[in-house]
Amino acid sequence: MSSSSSSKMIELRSSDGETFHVEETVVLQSETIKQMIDDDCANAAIPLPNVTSMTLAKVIEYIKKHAEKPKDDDDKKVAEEDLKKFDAEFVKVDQESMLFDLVRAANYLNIKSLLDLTCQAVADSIKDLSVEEVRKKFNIQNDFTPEEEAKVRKENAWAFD
Amino acid sequence: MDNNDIKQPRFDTDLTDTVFSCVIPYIHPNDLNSVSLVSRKLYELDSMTRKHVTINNCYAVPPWRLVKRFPNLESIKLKGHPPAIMFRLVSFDWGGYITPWVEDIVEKLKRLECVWFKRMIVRDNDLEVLAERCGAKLKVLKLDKCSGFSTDGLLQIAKCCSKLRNLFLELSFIIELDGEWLHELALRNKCIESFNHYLTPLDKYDHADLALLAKNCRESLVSFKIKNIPLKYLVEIFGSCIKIKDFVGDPYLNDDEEDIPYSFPSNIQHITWNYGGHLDVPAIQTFSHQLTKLNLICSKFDSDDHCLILYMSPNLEELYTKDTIGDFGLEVATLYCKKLRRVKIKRGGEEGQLSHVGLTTLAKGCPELECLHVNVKDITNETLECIGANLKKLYDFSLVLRQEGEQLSDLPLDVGVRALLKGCTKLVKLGIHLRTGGITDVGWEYIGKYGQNLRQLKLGFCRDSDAGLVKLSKWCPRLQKLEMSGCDFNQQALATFVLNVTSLRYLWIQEYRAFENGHDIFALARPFWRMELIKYMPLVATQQQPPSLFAYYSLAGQRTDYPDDSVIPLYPYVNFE
Repeated sequence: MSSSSSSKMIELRSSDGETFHVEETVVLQSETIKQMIDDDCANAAIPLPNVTSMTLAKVIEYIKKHAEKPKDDDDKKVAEEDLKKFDAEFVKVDQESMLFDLVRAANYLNIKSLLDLTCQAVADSIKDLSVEEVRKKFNIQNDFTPEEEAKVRKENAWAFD
Repeated sequence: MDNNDIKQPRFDTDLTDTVFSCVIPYIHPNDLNSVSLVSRKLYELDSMTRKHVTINNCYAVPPWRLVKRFPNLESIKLKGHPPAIMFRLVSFDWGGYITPWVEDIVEKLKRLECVWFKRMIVRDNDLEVLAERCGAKLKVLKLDKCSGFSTDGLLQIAKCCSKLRNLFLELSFIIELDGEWLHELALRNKCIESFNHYLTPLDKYDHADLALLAKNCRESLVSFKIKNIPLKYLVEIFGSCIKIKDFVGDPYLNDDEEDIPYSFPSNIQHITWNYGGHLDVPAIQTFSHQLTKLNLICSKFDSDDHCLILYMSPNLEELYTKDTIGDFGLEVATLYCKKLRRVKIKRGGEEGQLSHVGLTTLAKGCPELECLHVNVKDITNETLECIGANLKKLYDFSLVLRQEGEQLSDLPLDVGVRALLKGCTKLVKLGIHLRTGGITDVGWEYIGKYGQNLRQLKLGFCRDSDAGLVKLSKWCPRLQKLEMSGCDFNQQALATFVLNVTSLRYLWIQEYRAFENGHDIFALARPFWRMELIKYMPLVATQQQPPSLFAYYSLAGQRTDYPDDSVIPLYPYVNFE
């Protein structure tokens, strides 16, 4: 079944209007797109209003790599190792914003393995950071009143682990 | 130019919100408290998604705050009285009642599945409420070192909680009326994965019910920790419950029964030896290569027995035993059990059998060790240096030097302690119990200076002067809990410590001799800081002991559930509120 459809190409359009052509078998890793194809909504280019071309290119790079099939058992082990290395490199992005975009894209496109990978990378990046460091890293405004913040600080420090 | 533009952070609030709502399940539990303080949105997100909370002191916060802040909790662990009290009192009513907690959690935590109460007072009525309100939702009930309840309470649990997977009663003091509870549990439950009534007073139940429980849960049973059991039932259980990985229980023969050969389930990985167990080498040989955890604390094994079993267990990761293991036993462990991660060695007989020699060998040969507790008859700076140089993964270390025994020439251990802390940078829990002169003020300063990650510190019998505690207090940025015994610092030094160590939440001073009048204690007073003196109830009226001081920060009001005859609350905090 898959072999007959392996050559079929699906057209994706990013939020900034760029189009990408991807094999259907590869793009099926996205549950969202799979659903569209199943519902017969993929005859024209699929618009992805939440995903920029830069992010989409990364996503496609990821799903292409993850669609490669090992030939035999020996090859399978090598491929698994190779994939691990690829994943580790993949989330080493220059800007936190790219990682954020990838999380949002993986969430929107519903690609479970990519969501796991990118969310874990964000979680690891804040490991053992202080509150102030997290705020600074993601440029998040502290909108607590001083009283509220003091109260939560006490609860965290004395009671809840 | 372009590059610079790209590097500007461009997180809009929507993106941050979307991303964090995806990321929050992946965040390490230790980081959630920090995340909750970043912004209101993240506080809200953490509140709604937090699945588990541990409260290390049940008086630190009122129950309503827990359920209000985290309404979707699936699991809670709650701890009651300080551990030291257990060893001193026969009947114990210091406090730590679960009643106010149970009322709130059954009412508000609709997703609650796992409850773990540790060192608390549990009433039958609490268990009844839990059983009725949580019913089949309840999957895990751990009553860990608890007291105050009877088998009637357990009967209610057995009747209502048919989906219970884990019932843990180890070391709880249970009033035993009859064995009906076990009968009901065996009849109604088909999904127990873990059953533990080891080290409890229970023995009025019918052993056939124990066998029935195992039989009915044979598809799920993984951990079975019981006291003793007729051999014929054990043979049955081992025959049908093939998933059992973890077992403790002494088989015995009734007078009219014949010995039956049996073998352990093929998946067995953890074994605890009980008082009656002997070392049957041929039987153990068949599965010893797959053992990952051995508990020999209640066994009567001598050093030779230890050597035999350790020699056969190359995959051992956890070893709990007594110092009867001896230096030679530790040497064998070092040679054959390279994967050891956790080793706890308690005091055995009157005479110490473990020295710095065994400890040094272990440190050199088992680099995977994360947790190491030892009881030794002597110690040297070199041994501590060796631990610092080799055990890079160590996060929990406890050293107890026996009080009795020959004079040690290598005290103080200041240099060793420094090397230990400089080397073991992951150390979070440290316990050092020595003798007078064990470490000087310099050593106390080293603990603070080099113990940057220490959260829990237990120090015994190693006070030099009051200046030591003050020096310690200038460092240790993460220290939450300090427990001391045999270190009588004056109240001024203690007050300085509490003031300087802003991360501190819990202070326990065993037998506080420097407490002479109620006046000086006011130096320790600060907002939210509760203090109480706990008197010992001597078994013999002539044995007079000084009280212990327990102090902690709390967002709950002053507790009123203390026993009048043994607890004296100290009220100076009133001025602040």
